Amino acid sequence: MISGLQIALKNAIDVIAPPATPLQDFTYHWKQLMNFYVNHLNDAKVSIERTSIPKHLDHLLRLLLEEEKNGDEPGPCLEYTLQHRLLDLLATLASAETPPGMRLVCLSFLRKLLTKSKHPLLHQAAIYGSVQRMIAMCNGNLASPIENEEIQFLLCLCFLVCKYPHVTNIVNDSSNVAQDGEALHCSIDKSAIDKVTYIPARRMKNANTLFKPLNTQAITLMNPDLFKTGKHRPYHVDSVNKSSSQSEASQENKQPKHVQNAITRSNSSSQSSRSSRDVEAASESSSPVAQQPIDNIPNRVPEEAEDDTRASENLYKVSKEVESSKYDPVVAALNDIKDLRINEECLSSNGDEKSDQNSKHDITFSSSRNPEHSKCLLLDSLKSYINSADNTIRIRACEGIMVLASLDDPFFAEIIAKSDLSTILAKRLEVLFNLIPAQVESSDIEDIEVTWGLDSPLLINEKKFPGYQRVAAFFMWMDFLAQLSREAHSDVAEILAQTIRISFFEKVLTHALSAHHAILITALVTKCLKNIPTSPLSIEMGRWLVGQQRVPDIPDVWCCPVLHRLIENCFTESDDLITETLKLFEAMIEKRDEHILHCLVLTYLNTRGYYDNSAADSAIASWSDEEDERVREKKGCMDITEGTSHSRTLAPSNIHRILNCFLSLLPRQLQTESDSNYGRYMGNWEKEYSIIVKNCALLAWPLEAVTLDDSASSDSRPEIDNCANRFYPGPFLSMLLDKISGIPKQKYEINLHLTILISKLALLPHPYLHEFLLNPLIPLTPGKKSLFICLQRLVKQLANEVPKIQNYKLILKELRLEMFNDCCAQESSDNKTYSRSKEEETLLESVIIVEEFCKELAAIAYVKYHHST
Amino acid sequence: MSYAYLFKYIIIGDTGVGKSCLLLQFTDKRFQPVHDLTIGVEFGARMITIDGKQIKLQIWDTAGQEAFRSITRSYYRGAAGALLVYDITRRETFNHLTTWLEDARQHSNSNMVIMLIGNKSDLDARREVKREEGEAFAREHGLVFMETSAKTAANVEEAFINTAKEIYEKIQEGVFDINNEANGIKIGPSHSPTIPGGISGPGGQGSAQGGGCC
Ligand SMILES: Nc1nc2c(ncn2[C@@H]2O[C@H](COP(=O)(O)OP(=O)(O)O)[C@@H](O)[C@H]2O)c(=O)[nH]1
Ligand SMILES: [Mg+2]
Repeated sequence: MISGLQIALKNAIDVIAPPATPLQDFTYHWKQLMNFYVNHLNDAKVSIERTSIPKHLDHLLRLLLEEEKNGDEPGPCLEYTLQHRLLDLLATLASAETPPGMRLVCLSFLRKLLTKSKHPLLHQAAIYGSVQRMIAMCNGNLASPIENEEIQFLLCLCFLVCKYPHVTNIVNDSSNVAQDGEALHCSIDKSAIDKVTYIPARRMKNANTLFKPLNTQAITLMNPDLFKTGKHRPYHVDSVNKSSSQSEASQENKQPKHVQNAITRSNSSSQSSRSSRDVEAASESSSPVAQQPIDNIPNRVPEEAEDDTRASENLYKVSKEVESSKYDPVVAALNDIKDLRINEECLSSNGDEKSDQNSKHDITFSSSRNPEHSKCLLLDSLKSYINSADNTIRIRACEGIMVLASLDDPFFAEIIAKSDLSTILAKRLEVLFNLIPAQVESSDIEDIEVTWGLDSPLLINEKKFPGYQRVAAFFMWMDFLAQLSREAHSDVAEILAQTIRISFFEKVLTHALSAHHAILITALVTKCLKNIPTSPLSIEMGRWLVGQQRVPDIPDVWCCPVLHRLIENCFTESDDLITETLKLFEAMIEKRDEHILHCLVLTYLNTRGYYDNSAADSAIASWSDEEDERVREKKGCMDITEGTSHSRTLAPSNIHRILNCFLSLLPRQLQTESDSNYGRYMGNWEKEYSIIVKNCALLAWPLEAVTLDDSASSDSRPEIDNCANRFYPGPFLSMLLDKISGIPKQKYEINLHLTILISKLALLPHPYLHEFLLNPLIPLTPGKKSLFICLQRLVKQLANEVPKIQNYKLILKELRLEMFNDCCAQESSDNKTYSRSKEEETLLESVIIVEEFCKELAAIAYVKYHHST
Repeated sequence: MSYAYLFKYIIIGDTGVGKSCLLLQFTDKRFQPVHDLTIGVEFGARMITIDGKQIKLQIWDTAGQEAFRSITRSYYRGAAGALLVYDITRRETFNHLTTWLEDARQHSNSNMVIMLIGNKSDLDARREVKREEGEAFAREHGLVFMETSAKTAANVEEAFINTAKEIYEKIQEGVFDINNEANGIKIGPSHSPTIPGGISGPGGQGSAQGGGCC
């Protein structure tokens, strides 16, 4: 056994020729490095810092980088490195961790070489193979003291993949081909592993993944001319590695059929100490041989510790053959993607044990052992770090995932989309969600800073309230997913967003909204909604909230369970739940998401069922009798392209009558401010309205509210027929109107949020919504309510009840002062001048609310009018 | 250390223009000719004094590489200031400014202060972009402009500190809502704000834009 290694090392050293100075220097350092192994065959346990290996590697790196300055051609040192596959040997030593610390040093060496070299080295056969093996060594599921270097290495590969997009295939995990030449060539690794490591067999069995057969990579070069001077341009040939035991074994193989020159079979398992090369070697013999116990394998170590130049020669021969066959690997791959599916049973139990044993993570969950892999070696490796307890490591992994997912390469994007990436990411969201302690106050949620990056509050170690860290961790992840869905290739983004909707929103949150801690959950949902930028994820969240169906609900028949639940929650006993839910609705409106607005309100109003056409003729108030026929004929189809025309629905000529309706609604004796000063609300609304108009321009809402011709409507849309009688404002608007009627009995907070919510709806530049909420003058279908009608009834009720309270005028004044000087409200509540009961106070507060709400509505009506003219 | 405010900055611009060197010069007062390529986002911090107040600058150094912009965009969101850097010896880095600016404007809050920096002013002999061109670009897009050298440290302090001054002034004017941490500004732990526009008006819980009902 020992002799095997010696031969290997000798070979590595012997092939050295004595040429020009830098190369001489280079080979000297290489030789010195190798000498360590020759001299320490039996005690390679000395820590690497006490050896000269790092020093020699530094020299090698320096020489490689220095020779690049002499021109664009690859220099002799690089050629030597490639020809003699030095990196392969380094990878083997790193994999064997011989001497201890070797892996760290090799990762860093390779990272520096790859990022600093001006040559796109990654597609060189002599390099990518080693790189892939190094990638496979980086596994975040195992405790590793060099996690940081590992993740840096992976990130550097992401960087290279972006820099040279045609190398994506290299980092893809497809299975390897056992070409004769390569199999021969691999003897070095094998013997090195067998001899240089000192891992007791028992440990190997359970824990050591280092020696599980690695999937080295086949490659299809998309741009073979890239490395201009590469004399050797070896092609590897893709094939299917039918490994019955390895999780890497593909479930669907995307490699072109043409290139499946060889289908290797092996029974390698992760307990085996064989390198991938062994697998290949083994696979040449028929499977029974391959199934013999590991211990027997070393006996098969071929005497063929041959000159690796010969090996490469063989490889080059192969490459020539492939080259000559002239097919386009990309096209072929795309063609074959659909029909080539190899389903393999994946044996994962070994992996499971390992992740249990070695788990050092804050979270362990079953899907981290999901055997599906993405076929992208790099991605799989990055994924394994997302549950790292170290925030920085995890963020780095996230960065890498984001970079890969946003690569503009449809082929690569498909690989990612089909992988288990989104499942794993969504799973973590669920886990973090479940870790949020139920005692967290819903009021604390709003102010949490949400960002996934290195500036995340989680890293600053703040503790603003108990459970803060966990809430922050959840939002940090949510933010990452939102940003990822925004940045990722659209194929990836969509799958990701859908997975999150299905496996988190629907599976976890829907139920939680009706469970014990619904208040907190609602606050969390609101926070999510506010913080998710417009992206596939925000679209999916909208679909979750209001359902996918766009047709109106029939009264009392509910299609969307979530919306249903939210509306039910507005009628519970819990004031806090009502308040939180109203805030959520407010966030939904503010999102200005077409689908949400449509399903929530617009789909119910678009038929103008609230409008009494028969009465319209006699009504003087409605703009419709002033409208000219030309406008009428357009049937509201005018869109933003006719930006110059003003909406006469939003800006009716009798605006002053409308303002007056609102401002004089409350009887004088109930008003606490004599001058009906609605102007003070105008500034804010004006600012907001101009933003909203811009945002909503893309929604292509109609400009005018028009009733569809009866004849036309009954033909094309029978359901509208007779719609007037059946007008139903939908569950959401109905709820709002009910709540308006309930104002006198509702707590101040509820009324406050209710009126804010309606104000925000009223501000939307949608003609039907506008009419329904802001135009008291339209002829209403008999028996139907508009906002104004509800307010009228409410005021009537107030006017009846309030005067029964003693000193109500004075109390109103006092309350008003309290409410407007918010800060001192608490203290002054103790020294009330005029006694009143709780109910009386609520009633009187509601008077002030209504007074101010009417002013708000007047202000909004005016702002919209003003903006349109 | 305690501070009155914390400002978050982001440094953007093409790869190799000297972003990491500028940061290192500002935080460590040294120049490192061979700098590791920035992959992902790196971070630096330093305390400065403005108007007698301690201000902590938290600076995010980004990778200029195109594909890494997806990451960079997440950092714009929480930034109060941005240093947009080009290399005066490489015209293409100047030509890319518009793209950078668009990206920044689109993903940051509208009040973010952007400082345009022409770096490597020590290499005047190899200059490809005239100072006037930088000035003109800055004027056109409403940026502050400066030429710096991370190598000689010329103007490096000024670049970072002037940006902070600008932010500070905006706070004084009440342009920045300092209570909203998404603006890239934080109030220090021991500091009570004396700045106008801090506390929202009556009915405090009504949303700031909506004005609330009463
Ligand atoms: N002469 C000179 N070289 C500089 C200056 N700033 C940076 N460099 C060099 O430019 C290269 C790229 O710098 P780096 O900070 O890594 O750029 P980054 O990619 O923008 O972070 C390095 O080799 C630096 O030594 C400078 O002000 N003057
Ligand atoms: Mg940098």
